[in-house]
Amino acid sequence: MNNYIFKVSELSNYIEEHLKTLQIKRFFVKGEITNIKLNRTILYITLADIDNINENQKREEFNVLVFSPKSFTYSNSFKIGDQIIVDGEFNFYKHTSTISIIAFEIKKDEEAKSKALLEKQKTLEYLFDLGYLDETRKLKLPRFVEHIGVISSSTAAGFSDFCTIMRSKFPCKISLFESKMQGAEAVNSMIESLNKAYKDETIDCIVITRGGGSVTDLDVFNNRELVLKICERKVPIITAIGHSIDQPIADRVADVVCVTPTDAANTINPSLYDLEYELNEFDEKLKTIFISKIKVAYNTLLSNQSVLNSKSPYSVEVEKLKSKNSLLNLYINKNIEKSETSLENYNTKLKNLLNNFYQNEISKQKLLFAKFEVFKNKLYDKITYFENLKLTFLSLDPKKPMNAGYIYITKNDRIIKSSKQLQKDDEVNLVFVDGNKQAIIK
Amino acid sequence: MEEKKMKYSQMEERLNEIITKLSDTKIDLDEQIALFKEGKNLVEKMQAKLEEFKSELNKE
Repeated sequence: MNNYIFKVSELSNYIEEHLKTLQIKRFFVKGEITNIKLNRTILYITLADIDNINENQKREEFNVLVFSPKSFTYSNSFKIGDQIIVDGEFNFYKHTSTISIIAFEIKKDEEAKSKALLEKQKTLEYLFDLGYLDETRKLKLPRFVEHIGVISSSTAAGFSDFCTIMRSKFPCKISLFESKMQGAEAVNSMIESLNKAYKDETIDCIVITRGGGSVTDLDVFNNRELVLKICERKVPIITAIGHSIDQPIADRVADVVCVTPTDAANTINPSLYDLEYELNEFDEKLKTIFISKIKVAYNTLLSNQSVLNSKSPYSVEVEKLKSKNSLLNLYINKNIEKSETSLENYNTKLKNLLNNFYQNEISKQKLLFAKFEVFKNKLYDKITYFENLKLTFLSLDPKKPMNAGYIYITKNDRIIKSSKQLQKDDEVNLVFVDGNKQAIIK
Repeated sequence: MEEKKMKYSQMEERLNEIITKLSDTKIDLDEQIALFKEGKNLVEKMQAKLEEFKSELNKE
């Protein structure tokens, strides 16, 4: 061991210098993209081994940098899960003392892809021949699952999410069958866990789930032995191992396919909220059907009663009576109507007669009055005439001048109107207003 | 006594049967009434069971 104590910068320089002395300057490296991100002009790729898993259940990784202009092209051409071959060289970044690969060119590892595809195709054909891909083989998930067997890693975040959701929905038992879900040991580990789960007869369904990982990790779910073990199930199996364009065979033989553990949890068992809602619906339906039945029974009863009534002798008589009553009412109404019309006519006639009578009487009265007026005027004329005549007559009263002192003379009861009628010594009578006196003419 | 031992799923199944039977036009009124009573009884039991489930989940 060298006892010299380096400064950080010295150590960085040392590594940088030694990298330059490496025999491999430019090289090819293959792996799977587990992360890819374009930041401004630089494309950052995390490249991982396809098969090798280290003691920490993790795959070895290297950061790959792609500079402009290829960074833009590659960011569109590649995605997570792609198996690629990088043509590049080491790059030491002194600031953080990290070694990465600068990529000059990247291409897809078509050989790896086609090999995996070929193997998958063979397994599918084998399963098809056995009838394991037949849709009718699929088992139906029970409406109520009381015991769930989960094939997963206890440290997977997805398993925790699954348990949280399941325990908030409906009471059920969850048994974890710990398993490695990726890497070389994953297949055997899962087969072993499935065997254990199959032995527990209280389990109603089995969920195979993994909490993330790259798409290439799904290759283990194409493994023939694992898939055949899944086909041995007696209870429904749900897979929740992620989504990819190439569906893994485990999904093809599973009874229910979910994308994530959360989806699986949402698929198994109704929630108490849903059950309460459904129960209310049941209750309403029960009431509605029963009420409609009672209504039907009641209507039937009414109908029967009606038929019975129509056939009873009493009803016949009542109907006859009703009919007669109806006719009678009709007749009465008709006559009333007729009488009312006649009465109305009489009334009108009477009114006209009275009117005419009054008009005639008024005319007569007016005429009589006019005649009376004429007569009255004539009478007044006569009265006036007689008054005048009376006045004339009174003015002609011989006694009237006598009051003024005049007298008249008679002789032998004859009024002397001329002096020639008298002679000397004739005895005459002087008539005064208040008496007579004898006189002798001289 | 038999009903007490029934699971929620069995009660739900029975309730479904009752509704199906009630929808049948051929059964007589007495049977309809009996089914309705049984259905109502089941609904009450299922409601109680759901309450039990709720407390069970809350305990966890």
